[in-house]
Amino acid sequence: MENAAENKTDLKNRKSGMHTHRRLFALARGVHGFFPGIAFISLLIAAVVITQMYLLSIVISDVFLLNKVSNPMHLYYLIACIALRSILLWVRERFAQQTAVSIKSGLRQNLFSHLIKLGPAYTRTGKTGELIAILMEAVEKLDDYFTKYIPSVIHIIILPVTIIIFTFSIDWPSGLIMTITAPLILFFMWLIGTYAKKLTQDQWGQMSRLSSHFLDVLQGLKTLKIFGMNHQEAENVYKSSDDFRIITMRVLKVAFLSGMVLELAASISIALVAVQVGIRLIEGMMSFQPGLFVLLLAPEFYLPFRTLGSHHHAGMEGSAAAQKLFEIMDTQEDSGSIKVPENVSLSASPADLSKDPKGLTIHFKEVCFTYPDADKPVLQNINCTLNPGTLTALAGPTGSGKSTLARLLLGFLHPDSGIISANNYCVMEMEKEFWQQFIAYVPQHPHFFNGTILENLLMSKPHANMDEAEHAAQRSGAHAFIEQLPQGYHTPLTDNASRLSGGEKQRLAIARALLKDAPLLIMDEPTSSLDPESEQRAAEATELIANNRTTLVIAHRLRTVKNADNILVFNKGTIAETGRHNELISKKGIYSSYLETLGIN
Amino acid sequence: MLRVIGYIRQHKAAFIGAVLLAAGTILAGIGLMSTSGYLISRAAQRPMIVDLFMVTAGVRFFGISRAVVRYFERVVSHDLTFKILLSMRIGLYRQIDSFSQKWLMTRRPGDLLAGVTSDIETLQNVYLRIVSPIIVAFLIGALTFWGLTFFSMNMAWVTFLFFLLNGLAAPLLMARITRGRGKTEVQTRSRLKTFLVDRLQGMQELSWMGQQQNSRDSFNQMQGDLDHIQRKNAGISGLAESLNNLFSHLGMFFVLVMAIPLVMNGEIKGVVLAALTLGVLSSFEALQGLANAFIQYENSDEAARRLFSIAENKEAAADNSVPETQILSTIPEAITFQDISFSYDGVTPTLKAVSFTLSAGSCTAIVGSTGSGKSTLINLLLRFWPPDSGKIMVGGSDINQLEETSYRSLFGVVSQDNWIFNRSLRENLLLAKPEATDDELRESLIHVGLEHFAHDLDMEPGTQGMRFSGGERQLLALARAWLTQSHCWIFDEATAHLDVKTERKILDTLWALKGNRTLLMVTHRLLDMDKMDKILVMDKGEIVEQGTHAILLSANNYYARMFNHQNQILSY
Repeated sequence: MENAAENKTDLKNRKSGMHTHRRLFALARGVHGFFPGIAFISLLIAAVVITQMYLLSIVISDVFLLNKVSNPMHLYYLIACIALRSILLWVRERFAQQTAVSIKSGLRQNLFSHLIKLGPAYTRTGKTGELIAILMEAVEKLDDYFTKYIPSVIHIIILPVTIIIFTFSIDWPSGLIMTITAPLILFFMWLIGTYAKKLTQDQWGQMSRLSSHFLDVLQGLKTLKIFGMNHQEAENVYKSSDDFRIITMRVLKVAFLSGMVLELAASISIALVAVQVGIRLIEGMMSFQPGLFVLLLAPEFYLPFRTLGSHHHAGMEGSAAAQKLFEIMDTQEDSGSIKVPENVSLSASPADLSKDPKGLTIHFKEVCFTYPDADKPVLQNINCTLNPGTLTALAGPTGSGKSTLARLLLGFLHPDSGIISANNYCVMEMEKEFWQQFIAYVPQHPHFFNGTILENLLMSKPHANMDEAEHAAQRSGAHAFIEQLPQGYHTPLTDNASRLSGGEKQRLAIARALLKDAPLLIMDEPTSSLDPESEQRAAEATELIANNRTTLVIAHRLRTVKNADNILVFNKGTIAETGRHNELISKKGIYSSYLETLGIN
Repeated sequence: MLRVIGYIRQHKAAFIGAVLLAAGTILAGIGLMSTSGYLISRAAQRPMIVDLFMVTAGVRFFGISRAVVRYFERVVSHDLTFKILLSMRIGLYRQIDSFSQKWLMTRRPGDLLAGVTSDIETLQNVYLRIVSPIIVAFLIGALTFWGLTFFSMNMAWVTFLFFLLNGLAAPLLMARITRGRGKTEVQTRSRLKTFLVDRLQGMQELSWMGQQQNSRDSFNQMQGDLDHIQRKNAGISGLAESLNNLFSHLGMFFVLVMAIPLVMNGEIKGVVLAALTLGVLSSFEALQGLANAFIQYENSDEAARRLFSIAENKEAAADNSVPETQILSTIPEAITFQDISFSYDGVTPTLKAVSFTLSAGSCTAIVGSTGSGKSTLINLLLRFWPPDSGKIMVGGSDINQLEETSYRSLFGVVSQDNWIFNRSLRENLLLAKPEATDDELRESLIHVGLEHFAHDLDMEPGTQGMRFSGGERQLLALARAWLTQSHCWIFDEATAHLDVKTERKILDTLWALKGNRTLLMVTHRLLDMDKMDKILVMDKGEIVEQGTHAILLSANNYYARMFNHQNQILSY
């Protein structure tokens, strides 16, 4: 049973591998003239190689048998062929590389653009490293695929075929040897490609696991020291690595055997050509010059096979890299089925959403959401209203669905069913970029881009002037610390503003949101306590920000819930209670019992 | 770089064997082509078939031996590569083990160590890709030269010249061109990468601030810069193959041209001309890997420099000036910190003359906000590095004079960074007590409330203990502490980043298991403080307040303010 399942996934992998190759070839075909260009240059190379070997055989045979050079021009032609061959090789490489640059560039731009479209739900933290690796390194790995692998695949078709045709016209028995051995070699290469390759790859994969095991030991060194096991561990590392080497070598010995068979087929074929030509020479059935010509062509005939063998790795690597890349490209934005009720309009204009100066009216109707990799829904049948000019606080334990609700409203996630509407216009039907114009957001861990403080502030409102920015900073309490910095508003921020403290970042994030002055504000309060001074300022800023707009806060401060116009108490994906703080306390329901466990009355 | 070669030299026999086999592969190739050439030339003179018996046998021999020798070369050289990798790992492990923990911790150890392992991986190929091709090129070059001297000194020198051009001048030229041009490409690429990291991490802000189009435009522009450079550089790497081809065939051509007059005036027999030409051409195969070797050399050299600069760092070497001889035999009555001062960088003080005593069996909490110096005290106590001034006394001895392993066995540590190794649960637990039976291990798991794991000691926790939740990791650490039978338990922010319920569970488990052990708890969350015999409040490297929970609250000072703020936070 297990074996069958394994074979199945194996087959699937191989199929998707083939599929990846096909897509990569399609990309190359998309570049105008790439395939014909490479094929044409290959054909020229074949012609030059044959001419060169023909001239060489003439010169040698002249000198050997006639003791003279019958035509000195032959030597000049010969040197011209040599030069031409090298030039053609270089031209082919340059042409292929320039093509690769265009392909890589297009891929990267599409990928980045696609990632922006997929939005923060997809590029969430923890995945960034992997995505960067794909965009930078994996894309670059395709270089060899287009400059080495594809040309050598084309070359392996053109050169041997040309040489075989020539050889048949000169000496058919040698031609026959080549015709028989070439498919044989291809067969062995295929064999390596499937059986041995898998074997070696598995083993190399294990090898890299061993190296991550080593990293594991180094990272846990402190723990080892606490237990006094650090000296003993060196022996462990040695023993496990050495055992592994022995097992790996046993596998590699088998895997290399197929490589040997391939090599053997090529060199024995050359020997076979030489010996049978020799025998017919002795018997006077052919003359020396054509014999030598064929012998000179034989290694050239087998060379492309060897080249493809060595570039096969580039092909494998490229296709592995491409697989990850295509995976991103194939990821679609999630979109649930929407049944829009009659009283909700589909298309909105900017005026429709900004007509009320006190903000937007937001309705959640029967909204459900389940994360793709989860088995339970995080939100079930959510119904709620956020009114203009009011502050709504979300309360409830971690994992009860508070931040998912915020993410749905931000347009980062798409509900599985139900409707989110703003002023009675369906939010899910709007272009994300359009909808997000009306939102300002203060996340729990705000990100600041590389650039000055001013540039970061102005990102939320590109046409704002310095005065507006300063005003926003003053209201959020950020102005004071910005003024203290030697370069003030022109202080460059790097590495996500690592030089600023948690409290300072928080105030700057609020300033940014204030500057945008959007009708809907969403805020996620920090869970842990900042230093006492920052606590005070952050709380003041939260109250200030809520004026004259619709505000939604994921609350972690007692002060915030006390001041909220409405509290939505979350429990296991549903809204369990709603009301003001005092109402909920006197109700003695879930909310008051939460506060009790925290020791707050 | 020499250091890497030092590692290779540790495996002399395998090394010599691998090099000889690699040279043998090429020699067999030369043999195959020149005997073939001779065979058909000789055959053209139509001798008896018997006369050619030896030559045909030679052709077959070289044909087969080329493949066979190549096979053994691959086996031996890969085995050697593994052995080199192994020696480098062990060497490095010993080095890092001897480093002071202070040096490691001030250098983002995760990144540093990940870099180290990937550098080692680059260096494992030094033999296969660099050392072997260079030595083989030398050997074959010398042999070809020697072989040609039998025909003509001039011919030998000309071939030698082409070996130099092909094997030395061309790769050097290549390296020179790529270095200059490569630099701008690397810079442009790293600019692009920085931009990407920034924008992907800030995807949320990018969305709500409407920076999508703007980001796309900037990205495309930077990508355009990169394209421009890459287009200009296109073909440089292809130059290597092209030059190799050119010089190989030119070398053969000149040998042929020089041989022609010698054949005509009878100094060389015409029958060997084909063999000579083909043989010389095949000998250039020895130079094929060289261009790559030079490029590899640059990468490896960089990796080696990084790696060994770490390994030889004097600053990192642990400072063990005091001979450690004493072995602690009895359970100490008290642990005393006397005027401990410490600074990471030698400028800003982290601890300023801190003194306090932990008496046996007592419960002490050290509280304060991040950066107040709490965790540094623990690292000093565990002897990961020595204090700048002051002493820590345990049972009447300075801890610096105690034998390290036996001293550390006094403590059971549950901290934020307990490392769960990526090996079975059993092995993770056995670290604490190597001689423990499976039953004891199960008992420890049951004690800490991880009974659901007790039936499966073989379970693999995954990289960085991924398969355990945050709470389970801490409970596992507690199980390890329990196994060690240590006398003093240290809880260093053990419940940070956990939800309230899990936090409660861990603290309850602690109280249930503590017994009469000494407890030192470092925390910024003020929980169960009424159970403490003493609370030390730290701010900016100093103890600003101390006493019991009740006393500190009534003092209505720093501690009371911290406590009030904490109670305003809804952590649910």
